[in-house]
This record gives sequence, C-alpha cells and structure tokens, in this order.
Amino acid sequence: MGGWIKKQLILLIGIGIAALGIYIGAKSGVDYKDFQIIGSRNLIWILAQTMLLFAAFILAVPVFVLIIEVAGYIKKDERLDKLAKDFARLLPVSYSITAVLGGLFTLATYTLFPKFMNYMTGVFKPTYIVFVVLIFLESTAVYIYWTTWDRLGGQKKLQHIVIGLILNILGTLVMMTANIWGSFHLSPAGVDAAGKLLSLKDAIFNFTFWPINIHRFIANVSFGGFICASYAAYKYLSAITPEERAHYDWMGYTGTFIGVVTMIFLPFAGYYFGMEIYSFNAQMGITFMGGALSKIWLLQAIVIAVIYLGICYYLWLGLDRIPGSEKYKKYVPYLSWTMIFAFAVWATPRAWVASLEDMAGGMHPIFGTVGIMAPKIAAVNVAILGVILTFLLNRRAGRIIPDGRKVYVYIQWIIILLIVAVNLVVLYYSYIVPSATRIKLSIYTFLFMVPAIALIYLFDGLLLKGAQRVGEIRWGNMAPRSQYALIIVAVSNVWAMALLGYGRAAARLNWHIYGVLEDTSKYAGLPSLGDATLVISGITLLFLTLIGLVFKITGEGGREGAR
Amino acid sequence: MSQNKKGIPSGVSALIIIIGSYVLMRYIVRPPLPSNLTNFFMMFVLAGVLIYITLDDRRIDEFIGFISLTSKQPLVWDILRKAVLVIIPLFVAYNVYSKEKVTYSPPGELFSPHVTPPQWVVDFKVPEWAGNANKWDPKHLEEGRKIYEHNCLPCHGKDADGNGPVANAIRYPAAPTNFREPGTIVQLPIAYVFWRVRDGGIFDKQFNSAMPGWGDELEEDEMWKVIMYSYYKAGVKPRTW
Repeated sequence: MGGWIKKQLILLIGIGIAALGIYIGAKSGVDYKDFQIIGSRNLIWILAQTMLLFAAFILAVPVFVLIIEVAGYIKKDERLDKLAKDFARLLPVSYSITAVLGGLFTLATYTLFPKFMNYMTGVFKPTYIVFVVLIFLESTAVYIYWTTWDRLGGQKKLQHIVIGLILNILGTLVMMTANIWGSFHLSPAGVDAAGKLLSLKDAIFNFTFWPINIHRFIANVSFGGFICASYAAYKYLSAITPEERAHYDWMGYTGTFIGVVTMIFLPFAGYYFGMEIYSFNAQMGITFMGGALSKIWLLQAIVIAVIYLGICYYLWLGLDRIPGSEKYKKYVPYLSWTMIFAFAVWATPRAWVASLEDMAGGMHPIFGTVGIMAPKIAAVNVAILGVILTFLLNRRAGRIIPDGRKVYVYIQWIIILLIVAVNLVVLYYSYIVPSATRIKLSIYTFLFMVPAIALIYLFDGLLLKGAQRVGEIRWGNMAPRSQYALIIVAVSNVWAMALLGYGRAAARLNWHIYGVLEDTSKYAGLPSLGDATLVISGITLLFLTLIGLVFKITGEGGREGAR
Repeated sequence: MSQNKKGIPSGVSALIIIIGSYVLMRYIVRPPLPSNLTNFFMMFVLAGVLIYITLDDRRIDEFIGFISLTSKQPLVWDILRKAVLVIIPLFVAYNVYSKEKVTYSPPGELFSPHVTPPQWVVDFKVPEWAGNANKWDPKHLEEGRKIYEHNCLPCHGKDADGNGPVANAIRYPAAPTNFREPGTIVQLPIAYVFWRVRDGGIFDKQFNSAMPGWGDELEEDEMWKVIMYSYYKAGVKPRTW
C-alpha cells in the first residue's frame, strides 16, 4: 500500500500542476500570454509532442508485453516471460515522466492560451473528469501489474494476464479520451458557427476521431517496439557477458519484429485518415496533401526510408549469426537496391526548387510521372514486400527443408509474383483513372496484400514445420553496426512521429479549432518548414535524453534479468 | 583478399555506381535533372553503396584496403584509386567555389503546384452543362477551341502539353502547365481550374507564375468552355472533390 501511494504521488503532482493551470486559465482575463525566449507556441509544441511521445510509449509497451506474456504462458516458455518482464521494466519510470510532462503541458497551455483552453473546458468538462479517473485507474493497474509479476507466476499466471488485459483496456481508453480533444481541434462537430456546444456526443465522435484512434494505436505499438529495440541495442553494446549479449540480441530482434509487423498496417490507417480529412473538408485535404504542407510528405518518405532500410540492414546482418545462411545472403544486394529504388520513387517530389540555372521552372517530366501518388503507392508496397522477404530470409536461413515440401516454396513464389503483378496493374490504371478511383484502388491493393502476406507466412509455417537447423542461431554474435542501425531506426521513428504530429496540427493553419475558434495570437501563421524541422529535431533530442534516462534508471534491474 | 567474380574490387564497383548514376541523371536523361535534385537522388545512391559495402565484414576490409592504398592492386585499379583520391578533394573544392561565387541568378524558389483553394472554390456551383465531362456539348468544345487558340496556345501549346511557342521564355520560376501530365489538371476538380483561370498566378504570391487572370477578359461561360476544351484536348477528365 505504501509503495502504491508513493507511485501515485507523482501522478497526483502531475494532476495538481494541471489543475493549477486550469485555475490560472479561468482567472486569466486575457486571450494570450507570451513565453520569453522561445515563444509560447514553441513551448507548447515541445511540451505537447514530448508528452505525446511518452504517452505513445506507455500505451504501446503493455500491448506487446501482454502478447509476449501470453505467448510465454501458452508455450510454457520461461524465456518469453522474462523477456516480457524486461520490456515491462521500462514502464513505471516512463509513467511518472509522462504524468509530470502532462501536468506541465496543461499548466503551460492554460496559462499561455487561456481563451482557447477555457473554451475547451467549456465544451469538454465531462471528458476531463473521465480522463482523470481513467489515468488514476491505469496508473494503479501498472503498479499492480509490475509489482505482482513474480508473485502471480506459475499457477496464478492467468490472474496476472487478466491484470495486463485490464491495463491495456484502460490505456486504450485514456488514449481515446485524449484523442477526442485533438481530433476536435482538427475537425470540429457538434458545435454551431459561433462555437456553442450543441451535442457533446457529436463533438466526441467527430470526423477524425476514429481514424486518429486507429492510426495512433498502430503507430504507437510500432514506435514502442522500435524504442524497446533501441533499448536492447544499448544494452547489447554495453553488455559484459556473452549471456547478456545473447539475451539483448534476442530482445532487439523481438522489438524490431513487433515494430515492423505493426508498421506494415500504417499506410492503410493513413489512407483512411486522409480520406476522412477530405470528407470533412476538401480544402484541408489539399492543404495537407498538395498545398502548403505537401513537402512534409517528402521528408516523411526519407525518414520512412531510413527506418525500413535500417530494419532490413539489421536483419541482413543478422543472417551472419545463423549457420547455413550463406546461400541466402547472395540475394541481399538485389533486395537492398530494389528497396532503395522504391524509396527514391516515393521521395520524388511533384515540384522542386526552381533555379534559373536549371531552366526547368521547378518542373521536370520526371516529376509529372514519378512525383505523383500513382507510382508512390506501388513503391511503398514494393518496399513492404522487401521487408517481408527479408523476414522470410531470416526464417528460412539455416533450416533444412524436409523432402516433399518444395511445393510450398513454389506457392510462395506464385503469391509474391501475384502481389507484384497486382501492383503493376494498379500502377498502370492509377495513371488513367480519376483520383478518387485511384485512392480506392490503393486501399483495395492493400486489402489484397494483407491476406496475401498472411498466406505467404502460412505456407512458410507449413514449409518449416519441424525443419531441422544446420546449427543453433548464435544469439549475441551481431556486428556492433547492426545495433547502431536499431538506434538510428528509433531516432528516425521519433523524428517521424514529431514531424507528422506537426503536420496534423499545421493542417489547421491559423485556427485553434478549425473554422470555429481562430488563432489571433502573433503565432497564428505557420513556421517555415526549415524552422519547423529545427523544433522537431529539438523535440527528438529532448525525448531521447529523457528516454535515455529511463534506460539508465531501469538498466541495472534489466541486467539481473538477463543473468 | 576477396574480390567478386569478375575480379573488380568493390571499391571500383562503388565508384562505377556513384559516377554512373550522376552521369545518367545529369548527362543522359533529357532534359537533365536539376542539379539540386540530382544531389537529392545521389543521397539514395550513396546509401545503397554504403549498405552494400558494409553488409559483409570481408567487403569492408577489402574496401578500406582499397581506398587507404594499403592493399595490393593491379596497375589499372591502382591508378584509378589514386586518381579518385585527387578527384574527390578537387570536386569538393569546385562545389565550394560554385557555392561561394557571386552570381546574378535569383535565389531558388520552392513552390507547390496545387495550393489550397479558398472556400468559395470548394463550395462553387459548377454550371450543369460544364460539370459532367460525359455530357459536354461538342458545340461548347468548338467554342472553347477558338478561345484556347486565341488566348492560351502561345504558352500551353497546340497540343495542351505546355510547349507553346513562347513557353521557353517564361519557364522561371513556374513553367506553363502541361495539361497532359498526370499530375496537373486531371488531379483537379473543375472548380479549382476555374479559379486558376479566373484569377491567374501573377498577383498570387503562392503561385508565382506568369499566368494572367482572365476574369476581366473573358465571360464566365467562355472560361468554362476553354477549360472544357483544355481537358478534352489533353485527353483527360476532371476529378471530383
């Protein structure tokens, strides 16, 4: 009980700071206040994004900790349980940091933007109360989940799993409650033109509420996987004994696997989000995709390229620790160049910097054909296929395929070729059909790809069932550069999250709440993309410093686990 | 020392890929890619080369041996690697010189071809006879042709490909639009194009183009007809919001 009170104290401090902010905001009597040196907008931006990154992390980790724990329970594998515990170890300190950041963020927004935030209180007061109750319950669930890990083992494991499930439900509800406010800023509903609340239900279930829920949930799990993988990489690099190295090598692989599997679903969630934005307001859709913010997507393509290639690079190097993988390594250069080409297509802009010297007017025939959406969707799918094949190589390497199963390999090849063929056909039609049809085609292609990929893995399972290995995987025998690749992937992931967070907020242009409450402060205009990326990089550094702190604080306990 | 089957050291393969890609983009593709875009794509090429070299420990050793002049190489490769060691600093120096040299060119401009339209464009009620591309009247298209040839052809060209007789004179910063390109009018709702024809791009800073506004010159009906003809001539149809 004493421990619980101690843990809740930090949360209570966070809530206290937030309540103070709401009180100051209500009494303020002005519309805006400025913040010295970095300005009020930048302060809010940095606090909000850093808090969101932590919030993403603490939502994600319990999701896959529970999955690994359940897998360990079903397979009766102690190692999996230890791994899940090692991931969960990162949770308590992260929760405390999130609570403090949340409190500071609320204090800052209510103090510096009282008009806007008082309006939000007026509309959403009931959801605020629900939110506080939920985070209190969630924090309690984390405390119980973590402290009962060993006590509720063995016969009582099922009870522990139930606590994990409750924790996950609470975490998801907390995220959804916060998404009510964010999605309302972007696509308000349930209020009249003057901003008077007509229906709280409509305000909650606005156009982008569900797309943001889905997109964030998937992105958060992916992000959590990569951050945990970078934690494992850090531990791997600082490991002393071969056993520790083997444990953290495996942990890094698992984290990466979780990150990739969930990341594959992100484009689909993104298309759905985009479609809902267009449905809410076509003007906002154009601003987002083709207008002022279109260059964000270029940057996103580069960052995603770094993430995908970083993951694959790690996995390609990982083949070295699998005895008998030599015959598969020769395919790797082809795979890497195909993926590089796909990413170059994805990152090709629609228009470019125009200089007199080039006399191209910022345009080039290549932009008109490669710079538009049609080939990019095919390119993304090719890149996804590259990652899938890389994972297949990792599974296949070093296994002796039993006689008579060659047919499964042929079936897999047929499915892969079918995916390529479908993408080529869609690519061709994407150029000649109207945009609306093209967007639908991209969604159908994706819906085709998911079961196709699942089938590839199903046949892989049949192919490799009971297959002998040439030798055991030499966990812990990875070149250090592979671990740096994992760290680069995590850094790029943080940067990508912060970039797209900016994009979503910037789509509102000069509105606090789009079309309802205008931003009349001196920060109403958008910053230049260059300035924005500086702040984004600053946020990335801040987050990495804080998460580094979490790694450091929890590190010693983890070492014991590995031993 | 390991080399690949053809006996070409990986250092030479890397050089061939890097130089070959640059030459392809700048001297073989016509028109050549703008220099800053070439640099952008070179980033991908360099990443590819770096990945390729570092995938294998032996290849890394071989590569380092090659460029650090510590491994023994046949005379041709030896001359080549020494030449490269001289060329790289020269290339960097040339780039620094080019960047620092005083020029009279205006600074580069980044622009978006499809900027956000004002709300009236999104809400605009397109006349029924112009709204549905499947029901366009040939008589209207014929009238549109005359208006097009009289006013638009000099820049946008006889074939609506942005290559009219005066197009080359006004390529900076935005060239006349090629309506046949899949990224131009086919991606736009017809009301958006109406807005661009009516208001033009000279006075709107975000467009930065030489396109005049035709709102004072043409009647509204005439503008619709010329837009219809542009789509017709380019062989494409407008999209819906």
